Amino acid sequence: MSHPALLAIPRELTISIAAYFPLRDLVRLANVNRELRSLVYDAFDFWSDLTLTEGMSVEQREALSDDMLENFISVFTLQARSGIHHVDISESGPQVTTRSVDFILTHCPNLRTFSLKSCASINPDNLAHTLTLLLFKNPPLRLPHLSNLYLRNELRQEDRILQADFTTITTIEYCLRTFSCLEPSSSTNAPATPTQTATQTATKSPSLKLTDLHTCELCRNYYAAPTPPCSRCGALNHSHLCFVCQSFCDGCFAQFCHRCVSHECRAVMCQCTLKDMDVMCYCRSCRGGHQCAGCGHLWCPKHIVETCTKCHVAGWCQTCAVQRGGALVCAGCVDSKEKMRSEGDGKWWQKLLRLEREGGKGL
Amino acid sequence: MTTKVTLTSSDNENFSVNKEITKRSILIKNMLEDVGKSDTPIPLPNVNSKVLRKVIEWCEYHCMDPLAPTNENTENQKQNTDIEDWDQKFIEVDQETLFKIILATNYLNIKPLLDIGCKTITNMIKGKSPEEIYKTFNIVNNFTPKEEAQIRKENKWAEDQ
Repeated sequence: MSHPALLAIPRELTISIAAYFPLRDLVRLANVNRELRSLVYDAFDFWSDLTLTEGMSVEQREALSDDMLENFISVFTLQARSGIHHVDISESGPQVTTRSVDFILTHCPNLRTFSLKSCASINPDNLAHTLTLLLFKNPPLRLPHLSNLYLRNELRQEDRILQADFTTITTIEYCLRTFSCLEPSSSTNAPATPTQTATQTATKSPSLKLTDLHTCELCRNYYAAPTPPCSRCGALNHSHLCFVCQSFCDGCFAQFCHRCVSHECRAVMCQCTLKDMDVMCYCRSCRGGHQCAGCGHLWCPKHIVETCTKCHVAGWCQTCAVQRGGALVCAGCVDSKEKMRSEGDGKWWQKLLRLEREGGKGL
Repeated sequence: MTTKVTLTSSDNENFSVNKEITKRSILIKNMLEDVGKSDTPIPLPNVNSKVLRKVIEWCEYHCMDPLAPTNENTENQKQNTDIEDWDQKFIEVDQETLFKIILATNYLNIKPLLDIGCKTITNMIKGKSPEEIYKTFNIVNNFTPKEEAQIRKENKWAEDQ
């Protein structure tokens, strides 16, 4: 039998072909036979961008673990590993922990960017701890090309805010600067604790940042995002505020200063805590889709989805809509007797709260 | 001034081609610059007449295309494996010819045609399981069953959803 053409062509041509492959196809190609495996895991130019979680289903992300990541990267030759410039394990499931962070940082010597957004088991606190331990590694960890560590998720669409206070952020920043040789890792005198030195480092050159985390200028409890000027008056009182301290419309995300927000926005009635300790609000132009056709109050999208099955008018809140025989009928269509009976059952949000406390999913 | 150039294939068949068309090949372009105004046929010992005819056909069709940049970023090319309709039809050949075209374009240094060839092979492999790749390219799986099981286990995350 003649040698297969795919294996007979020069190596550089096979590399040109495989260069078009997305990551998972490359892995499958490597599983075909020994020659292809050695070619794929030895090539410097395939693995520049290791976006591991992209395109994965929720189940796959949940199944992804530290062991899997370690096994995968361990197969790479040193040459291939030195070609890794960008690693992205964002949105990984609970089985990917800071152990993977440690492994990736210590096995990818030319790493430039590392993305850890919305990882279930990685938060600024445990990351700071892991990086601090890496500081004392012998020989010292050096990542001369490291330029960015991405942690900040798109909080405006998130339902949680990770706590990352000033000390945590400066510790992470200090460690990364040490790894990337921006700052000497230890002095000739007795070494200061990472937290102490971190504070000094932050004061020395605050403009050089390797993470996308900033401390909130107001509360200093959460990490902050660049804050645009007020959409109404144009004032920019703080350039970096956390999402608790920011005031923005939850419909169009227009930013307002603390003075203008009360003129422009109205809070929703349902007290949904999509943002920790903060109530959702909508500006004048976004109110249409969130205002109940019955009571006129604003509601979050979760609570303004009802459409009356009788009059077919959309945009009723659940207080104004009454469930009758499986069909939703608005307050305007239901007869008063039934309405009174349904009101007697208790408010919908009281039921919702009770169900949520009991572990239910809602009404 | 002569506008035609003669190319000689490995099986000694001569092809008289417009000079501008042959400049799609960086190899021939450099050769022409080196030999100046000579009418001597250019020998192409690594390309047979069947493949050379195909390559000339492609160059004639694409003679008006702007010349592609020589150093394209491989990171950017990863995403796009689309092939234009005409090229798609042009490259519909048996696997042996396809690899010969790839080898010829690599030798002649015609990057756009090389890209089409590589993309075609890529599209033949993309989304396929290792078993399907063995069959498509007649490759022998030389892993031991134990190794194969281990690999499968380690790379489960890369399998299709």
